[in-house]
Amino acid sequence: MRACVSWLKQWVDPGNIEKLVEQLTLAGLEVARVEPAGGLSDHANVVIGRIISCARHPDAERLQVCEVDIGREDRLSIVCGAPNARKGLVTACARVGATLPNMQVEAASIRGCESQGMLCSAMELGLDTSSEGIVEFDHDAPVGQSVVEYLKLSEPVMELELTPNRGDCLSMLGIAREVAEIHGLTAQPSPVNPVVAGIEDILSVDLVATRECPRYVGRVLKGVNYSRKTPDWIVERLRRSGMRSINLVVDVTNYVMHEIGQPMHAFDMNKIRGGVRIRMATRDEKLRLLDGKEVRLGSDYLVIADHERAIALAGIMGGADTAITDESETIFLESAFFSPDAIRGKARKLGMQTDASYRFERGVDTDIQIKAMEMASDLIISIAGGSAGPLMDVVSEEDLPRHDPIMLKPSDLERVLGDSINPSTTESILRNLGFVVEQTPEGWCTTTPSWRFDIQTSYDLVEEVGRCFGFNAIQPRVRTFLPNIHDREEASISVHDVKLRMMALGYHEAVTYSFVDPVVQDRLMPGGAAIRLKNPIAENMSVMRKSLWPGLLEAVSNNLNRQEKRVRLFEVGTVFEAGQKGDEDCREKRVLSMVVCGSVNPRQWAAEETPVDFFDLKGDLINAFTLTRDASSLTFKSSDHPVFQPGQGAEILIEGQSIGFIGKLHPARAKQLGIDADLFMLEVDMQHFLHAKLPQFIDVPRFPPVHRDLALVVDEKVEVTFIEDKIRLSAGSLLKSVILFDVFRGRNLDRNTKSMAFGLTFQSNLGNLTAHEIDDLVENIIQDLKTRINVELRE
Amino acid sequence: MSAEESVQSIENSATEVIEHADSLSDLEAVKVQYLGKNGIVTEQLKRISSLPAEERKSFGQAVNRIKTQIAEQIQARHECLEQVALNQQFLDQSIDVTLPGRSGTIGSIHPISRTLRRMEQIFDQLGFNTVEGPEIENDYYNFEALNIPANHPARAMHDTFYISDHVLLRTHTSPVQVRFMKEHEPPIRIIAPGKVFRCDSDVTHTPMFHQLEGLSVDEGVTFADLKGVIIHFIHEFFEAEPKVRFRSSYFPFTEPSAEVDMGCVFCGGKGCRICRYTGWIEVLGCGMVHPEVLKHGKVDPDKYTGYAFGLGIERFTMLRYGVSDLRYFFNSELSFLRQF
Repeated sequence: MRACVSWLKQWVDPGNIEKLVEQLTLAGLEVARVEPAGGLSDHANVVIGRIISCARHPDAERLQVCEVDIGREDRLSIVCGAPNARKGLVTACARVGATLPNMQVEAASIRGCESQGMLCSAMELGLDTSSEGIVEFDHDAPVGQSVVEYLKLSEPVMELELTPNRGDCLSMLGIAREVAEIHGLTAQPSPVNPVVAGIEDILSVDLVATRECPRYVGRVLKGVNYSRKTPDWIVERLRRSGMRSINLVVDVTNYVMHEIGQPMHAFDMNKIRGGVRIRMATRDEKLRLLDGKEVRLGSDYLVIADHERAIALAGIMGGADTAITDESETIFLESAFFSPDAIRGKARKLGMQTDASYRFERGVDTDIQIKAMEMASDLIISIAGGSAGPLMDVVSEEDLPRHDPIMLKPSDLERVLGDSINPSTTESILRNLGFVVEQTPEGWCTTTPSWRFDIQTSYDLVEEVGRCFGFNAIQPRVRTFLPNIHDREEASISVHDVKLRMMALGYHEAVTYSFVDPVVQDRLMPGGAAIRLKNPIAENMSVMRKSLWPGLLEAVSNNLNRQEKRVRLFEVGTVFEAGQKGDEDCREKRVLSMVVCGSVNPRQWAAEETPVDFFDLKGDLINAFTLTRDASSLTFKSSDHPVFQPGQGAEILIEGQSIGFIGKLHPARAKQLGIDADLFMLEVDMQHFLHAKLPQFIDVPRFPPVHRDLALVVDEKVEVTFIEDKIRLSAGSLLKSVILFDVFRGRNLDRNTKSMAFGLTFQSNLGNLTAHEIDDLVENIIQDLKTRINVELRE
Repeated sequence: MSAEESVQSIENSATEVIEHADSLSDLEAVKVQYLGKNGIVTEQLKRISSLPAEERKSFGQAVNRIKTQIAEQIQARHECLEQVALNQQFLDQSIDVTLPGRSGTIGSIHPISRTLRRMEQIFDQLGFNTVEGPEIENDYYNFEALNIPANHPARAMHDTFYISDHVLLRTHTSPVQVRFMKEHEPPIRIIAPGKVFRCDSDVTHTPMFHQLEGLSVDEGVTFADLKGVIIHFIHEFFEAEPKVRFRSSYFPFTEPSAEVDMGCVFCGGKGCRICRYTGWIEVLGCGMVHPEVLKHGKVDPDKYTGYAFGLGIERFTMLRYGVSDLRYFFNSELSFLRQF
């Protein structure tokens, strides 16, 4: 909403602008910026000129040589190419040396004719973003006067960002009320000159949908001279409000809307068949709108119809068939109150928004329709002649929004604001805002003004008083609370703890979008429906992620493209799964995902650049999982998950329950994602990370441990955990640890076999172990293994 | 030459040889040469028994004296040579201490997590617990329970991603307010951080971002308390005391509503590009919980009052660390992430 400061003076003196801007902003009418009304600042050299004569340029068909009077003895000869340059036209003339917003005017010879300046278009003057021809001022505009002064281009215009509850501020009058309150005054409404009916023409108005349209005011105007140009002062005020001049009738209705907030519409009365009827649209009823678009309506749309068809979309836009044209003889002006509930959401559903719908949705003063009609007819007739018919006011009183009195107690204010406000201050704030305030023993009995749609309860009044009193004037208070006792178990691990561990392991935390490309997701995790957005921002962000992998792998690919060779990323985030019962039943789960490619160590002088493999990532997972003090509960089972290269994928389990997957990205998937590297990745359910085992003391052993190494040659297919489990089982409680310290293939081993070397540590709490005891234990282990698998002892 | 003299000359020659032994092995040879089984001194000792009795004592004393002296000299020389050898070994083993240490790399924590962590800690001190809510919400919690009925103009401010007619991605963290109130009795003091989604994407908007919601409901909670907490939070977070102002605004779920500006931390309020030459930076929205919202949360508005606030975590992160573009947060460039 743009507000021209001088326009406000019609009701109230705005005072110092800088201060006003701050006060309005604090009171909830945020002023985004203040700028001069026009971009033109050259006072001296851009003046009003009248074209005295026009002659065809001797050498150019499209150019004219104009003799221009700028109020001085000598006239200027100016070459002009605008088609509307004509004798008698009063326009803007930039003299040689003038500075226009986007150019400098210099003396020039145009095809052999000297030009002593330039006649300017609205665009050249910085008044519009486009324009046809040179600007046309009123005939009686003072020749020779500076254009900046004539149009008052240096006066400030405020751009306000209004919140949706303040429909009452979508007019100059509305803003003036707020300005008046700031100055401790009440904006006095400007007087209305009722137009005396000069003709008797009326049109039948049939108010069917009274709930949606409780009041409809209409009037017939005849004999209006459409060729009359809209006076400069109206054109300028509209332009300051961000509107272009269209024609006199439209300009006047827009002017009224900006001044007092009532949207109006003008019909060509001769095209209305029968009379107007305000009703709901029928199903699939069609209507071609002013902008040429045809809309198909539903029975929830309010329309203005004649006796045959819909002719306007009530409160949103008029119809094309009944639009006024230069040939219209009679116009029918409409000034109605449409209920916000009837208009809300309707324009948006049709993909449009108009100045009218914007206002009706938020609520238009219920008591202003007649005033608007009088103002508009008075302006049109005084400018362009013609006469008005009698004012038709059809109203359904019981359907007009009613404002029941609201009780406000001084204690209501203190209870919410935490500060006491002087009763006389409260009272004057409410009165200045237009409330009727009566003092009663309990408090103030207030009646809300007809323009406010955001006041229903005493809380709303507290807000009004609070914002006008000023939230900054309320003393802040930091209360001491009772201690906030809540369960913080020693055993709980925070997500942040896990992130810190990831960081220590060399991983960078990424945050990727929760919606991903369905094609990429399907490649990585085929099968299972993903949750789809109805209105995605782009197709590659259209489904909710089932895993963090799509986002992280894209991040890896982007980093590889940026010459990063060693990429380690992790993310903790929510993944989504469609439920059985459809969209109402979406499941969310927090997971941890890690991806890694490149060398184990960063390039450095003291370590080999070994490429990462499965076991580096697995080791990092175990390391992180050690936070739970229960890393040994993690087990790994070979998996044929299709995202992994066959033979290098595993399921991660805790006590037999699957909690995630780890493996090497399938080279075919890697290629599709543009990842030219061996990439290892994992994803686990985060909940298993968040609970730790507490330390539990066991007696520190007093007797020395005994170490034995055992090298076993077994079939390639035998998994190490199988052997470890068997060793533990056979050895019993004296075995304290088993460590695999070497895996070896080839040389003098048979194909399809491997040698695994284990370091065993035995220890007893009861006494020293003898070599003989240990020999027996080891022999027992070997014999037990031999009964289950083909195993050879390697010396 | 008398026996005495010859003993003395043995000692003299031994002293010279010992002094010239440059290595431990040379010294060892010297030791053998003089003190060994067939060494020069040993030979002299063997001679004692063949000497006349009257010479034996003095000769024996002389030989034993030089034996001790030679042994001491060898020992001294030995220590000296050992020190030299050790010094040489240390010299050989000396390193360039400026060579880099051997290690892996340290990763990083995302700036949003970092900021969130700090915010949680500040509010924890004020007695606020952290809770969470679902990212996929329904229309009721995201809008209706927050006093935003269908077709309310405020819905236009939320460009909502829909999954079906009534299921959507939450557009703010405010739904957690009602969810939490329904399950808990006052006093309530919570913060609820998390991801939120709006279908808007340009230089200053990403379709996903993070908010932190705060809610306090109790008897006697007022706007003055809200101001106290917010001002304290801003001062703690920025470790500075910029001016803070509360400006009337509108949110359907709070009444009164306010937006909070703080004096620009970059220019000290003089006006710069960051604050768009206003001297103020908008940092959060807040207000007293609307009685309708309390009712949706099964809290009696006649007994209790509450305040709520919501802030953008990205915005605070950008202001704190000077990040110039919102989009850096989500494109996972290592060159960005490494900075945190």
